[in-house]
Amino acid sequence: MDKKKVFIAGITKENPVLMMFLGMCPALAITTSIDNGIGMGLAVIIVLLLTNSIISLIRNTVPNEIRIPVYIIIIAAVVSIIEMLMQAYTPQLSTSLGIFIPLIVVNCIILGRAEAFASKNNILNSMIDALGMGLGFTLGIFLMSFVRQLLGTGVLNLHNMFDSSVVFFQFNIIPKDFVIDIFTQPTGAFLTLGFLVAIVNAITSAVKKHQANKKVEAK
Amino acid sequence: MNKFIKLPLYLAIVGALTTAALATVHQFTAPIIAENIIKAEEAALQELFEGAISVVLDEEPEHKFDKNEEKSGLVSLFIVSQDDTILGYVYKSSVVGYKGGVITFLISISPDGVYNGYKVVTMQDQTSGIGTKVADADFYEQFLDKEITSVSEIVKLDGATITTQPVVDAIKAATQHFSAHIKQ
Repeated sequence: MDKKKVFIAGITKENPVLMMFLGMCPALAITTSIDNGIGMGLAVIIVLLLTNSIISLIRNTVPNEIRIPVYIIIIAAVVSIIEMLMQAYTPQLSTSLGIFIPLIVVNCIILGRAEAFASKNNILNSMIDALGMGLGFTLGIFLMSFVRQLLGTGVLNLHNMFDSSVVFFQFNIIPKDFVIDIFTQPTGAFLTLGFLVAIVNAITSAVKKHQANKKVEAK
Repeated sequence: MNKFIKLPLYLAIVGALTTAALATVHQFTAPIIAENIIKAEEAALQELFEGAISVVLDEEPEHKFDKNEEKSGLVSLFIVSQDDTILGYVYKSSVVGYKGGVITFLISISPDGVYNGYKVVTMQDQTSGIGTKVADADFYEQFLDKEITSVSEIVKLDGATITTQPVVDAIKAATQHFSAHIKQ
């Protein structure tokens, strides 16, 4: 199996948020700030890495009849551990992500990768797949939170998630009188997702057309 | 091996191993989490009473809350003072919001009975960007500096009634308790 292909697929043509529409619940709900987007993305990457590697390790011993309950127990345990660690070391982030941290358990990306990939592939490939998918998810929700925070609040900033008093950067781009408040609301989340997916689709179809033209010319 | 033994046994082993992992992590994160909550409470108090360097907290034994007030979420009452002057009164409240998530916050009332705002200390499981807005200044500043009798007119947050209602109720209970027991 081509490792590079596995890695790239998660970010580009199998991107969970923008191409496969998986993990929509956090993607729509928590993408109000870049802090939230990156925090959630990192949490999902860590959970995916751990669950994919554990499930890949036990894939030959787990009885087929009970594989889904076993996966769910493992996923729930890993997410609970991450939740406790976040409450302890990133309290601000854990408050602002709230219910969406425990909800990673039912995020279809995690169970989907366990069932579709980790249960059939060795640990190294499973970890590469987890990294690619996790980064793809992070990229998707980062783009959403970037657009929503910029248009909704006019400010772009990033805090250190371990110490919220440390600000990595802060740009006031749009004056407060000209921000579009609706982008901080759920409506804005749907609008942002729609436009982003439209842009991504336009790009992919242009690329496909270009490749098709090339083939014709080559003939 | 017989399937009726093998399958439950496998699940039991997986369950036991994950429980052990959870217990271990809980063991060393629990004290840090508890410390974080105390820190947040102290920071919230500092923010409510700016510049109060020596914040002395006193639990009032003679002003016990009755059952209804406890139901509204009032937990404890503090007197905040600096040197010998009373800076204000703080009601610590804990209410259940959306999906059973607990919101703990401090309600501040000045000595002459003016409600001073509140500060959310911890919040669990509220919808990000909707219910979590009760912690934003935009929400709680709308009923700032009002006489404690007029707190009833409060604009609720769009789509977040389940979170805002108990918060507003607790503020009402606190102001009522204040006028009944402390205001002379």
